Amino acid sequence: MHIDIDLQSTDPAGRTFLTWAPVQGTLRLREAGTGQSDVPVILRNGGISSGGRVVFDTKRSDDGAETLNVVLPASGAPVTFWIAGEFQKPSSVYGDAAFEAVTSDNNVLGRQDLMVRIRKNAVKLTSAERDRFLQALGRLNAAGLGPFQGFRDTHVQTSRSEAHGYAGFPPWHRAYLLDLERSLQDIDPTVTLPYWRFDEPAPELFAPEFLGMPPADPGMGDVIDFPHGHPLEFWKTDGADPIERRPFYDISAAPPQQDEDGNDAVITQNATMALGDQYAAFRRMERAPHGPAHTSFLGPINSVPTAAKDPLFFLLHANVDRLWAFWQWRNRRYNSSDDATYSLLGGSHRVPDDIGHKLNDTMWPWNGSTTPPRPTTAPPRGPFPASGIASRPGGTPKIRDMIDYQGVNGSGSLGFDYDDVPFELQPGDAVS
Amino acid sequence: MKVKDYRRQVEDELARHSANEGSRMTTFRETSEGDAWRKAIDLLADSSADAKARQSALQHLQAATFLGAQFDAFRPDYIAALRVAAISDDASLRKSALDVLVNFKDDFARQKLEEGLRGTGEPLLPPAAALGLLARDDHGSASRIARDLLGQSTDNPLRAQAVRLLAADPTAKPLLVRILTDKDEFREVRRASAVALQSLDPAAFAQTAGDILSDSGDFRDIKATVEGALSRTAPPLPNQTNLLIEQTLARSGLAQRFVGMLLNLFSGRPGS
Repeated sequence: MHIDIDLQSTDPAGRTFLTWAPVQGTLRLREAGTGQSDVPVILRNGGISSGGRVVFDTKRSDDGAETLNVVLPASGAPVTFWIAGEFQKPSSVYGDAAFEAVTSDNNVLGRQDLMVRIRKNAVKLTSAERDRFLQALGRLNAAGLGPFQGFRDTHVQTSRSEAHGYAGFPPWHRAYLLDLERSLQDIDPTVTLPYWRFDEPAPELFAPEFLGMPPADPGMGDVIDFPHGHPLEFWKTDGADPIERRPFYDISAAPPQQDEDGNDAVITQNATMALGDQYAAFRRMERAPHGPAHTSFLGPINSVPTAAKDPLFFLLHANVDRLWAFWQWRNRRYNSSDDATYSLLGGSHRVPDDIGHKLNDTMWPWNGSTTPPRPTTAPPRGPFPASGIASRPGGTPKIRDMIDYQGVNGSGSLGFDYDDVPFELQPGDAVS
Repeated sequence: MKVKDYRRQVEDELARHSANEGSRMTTFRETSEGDAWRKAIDLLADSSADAKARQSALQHLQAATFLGAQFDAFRPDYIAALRVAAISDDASLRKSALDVLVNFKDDFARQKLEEGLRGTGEPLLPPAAALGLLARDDHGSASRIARDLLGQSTDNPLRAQAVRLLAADPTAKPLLVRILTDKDEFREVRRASAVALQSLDPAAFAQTAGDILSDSGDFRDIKATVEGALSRTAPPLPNQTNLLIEQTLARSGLAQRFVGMLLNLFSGRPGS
């Protein structure tokens, strides 16, 4: 007896990647013999005990169980079910999680290895996860000759108003990070973008084997001292520039929450949540903690036109994005037509600079625009890359496409999740 | 953990925080932000003020530059204040101000750094640090000074920094090859020459790397450096260079490990 397994979010190479957001699966009996009866089966986890875990349900829900009993019709008609990564049980490698369909006497009828692929706190990565991320990043840069230069050229002075100072700051950067992550996954599909939790100590992130530190003596310059053979040892942008960075703070602690004058600096996650439950209030996080996180260092990362030269930029912004995701979940802000969720819904543009910030505006560079007030230089990225497991956001994403990133409202997810931000339906939203 | 339990846990934690800290809703002062920036600019430009306070003002203002056009009206005064801070008596503040000015491609900063390195003006930073900042702003001008310093200095960190900058100098290839293959050279200087040569001429780098990898007497760390670079070389290299890398690795005895990877990389196959 054989069964066919078909899980959504399986890429063309047959690898299945799950997040916390449930996806549909189907099972059916194949080559059922004459006189075959319907077959009761149990869906269960088949991976290793310390690996990623999945949960099942008969409907799209946020309350799946570790097992699910279904009956496969003898006719071969498909049975649908829903499967998701179990919150707080992500994978570390491909295949440490698996889905199995077994009979009541424990006969495995079908199995699919998979990965619960989740963005994690950088200091909690295993050394293998860290190294895979760095290897992919190093290859994306390819000693300055690879596609990374396009990412660096996306975050520059001429594109400043596309990304900063207005409501679109969070969604534009969400798209930017996802573009980078998908490019990394083209190199190694098991990689996700880690985040720098900048309100907590993260000495492991600045260890030599990760993002490194400059020489102890500031007089020797701020070029990062990588060990020989490190994947970022030959990192280059703009032709020849290496990674330069020097923290102003003691990296065994977190950057200060307030500056000398009592201004908010790198405020905590709790303080960021306390900015308010309306988007217009929450967006003040662009001032703090976002800005002071950048300026906790000397080096290119402390200026808009140069910040993306440093790979730390992407881990810093992954945390900014995680904070937005956490805020969205906490306040249930997924309905993009509600100004509590996004505060620049429509109407005419107030000033040319806010083009690209309204809900239905497309975003540069993925829209390919060279018409002022958009940057007139050739767009360094775009169209937006497709994903093997997610159909969204399409080649020319709009601000709107970045808001419900998990597809809480049923539109399908963007294919990423954070380790501490669950998927949760709006009350009464379970769909059968 | 079930999501509903997690939500309860998060809300409990936020409630505890709120009780301890109070809501930050009241701390936001949109109307007075301009005043705060003005005050910070004045402090940064005040040579008699405490250096630590000026440094803090600099970071506060620099964070404001991330707000886009909202800060633009203050930018000219901010840059003027940075120029004052760049010649402060405090070494740390000088470096911070110059670092930001260089990121802004500021002519005053470049001129001061060049004068310090050429000895025609007071050095504001130690030479290696000055050279590093200058290179970030202007590769051409930095490489000329780097060549001069390389010929004159015995300070190895400075020489390593100088070698790094030769990556932008098309005439530096023979010099970089010589340094990279010189086993008596300071290790960090050799590493810097590997990075610079790889930028300047990937084919020459691959050739030289092959010589190093097949030399049983060369150092393991230098081999790790060139080996790592070869394995991450990008598809945009011309075909001739790709072939050269392949031949190079084959000669070094490391072909089994890397040639397949390189071929996959160049053919654009994912997950290789």
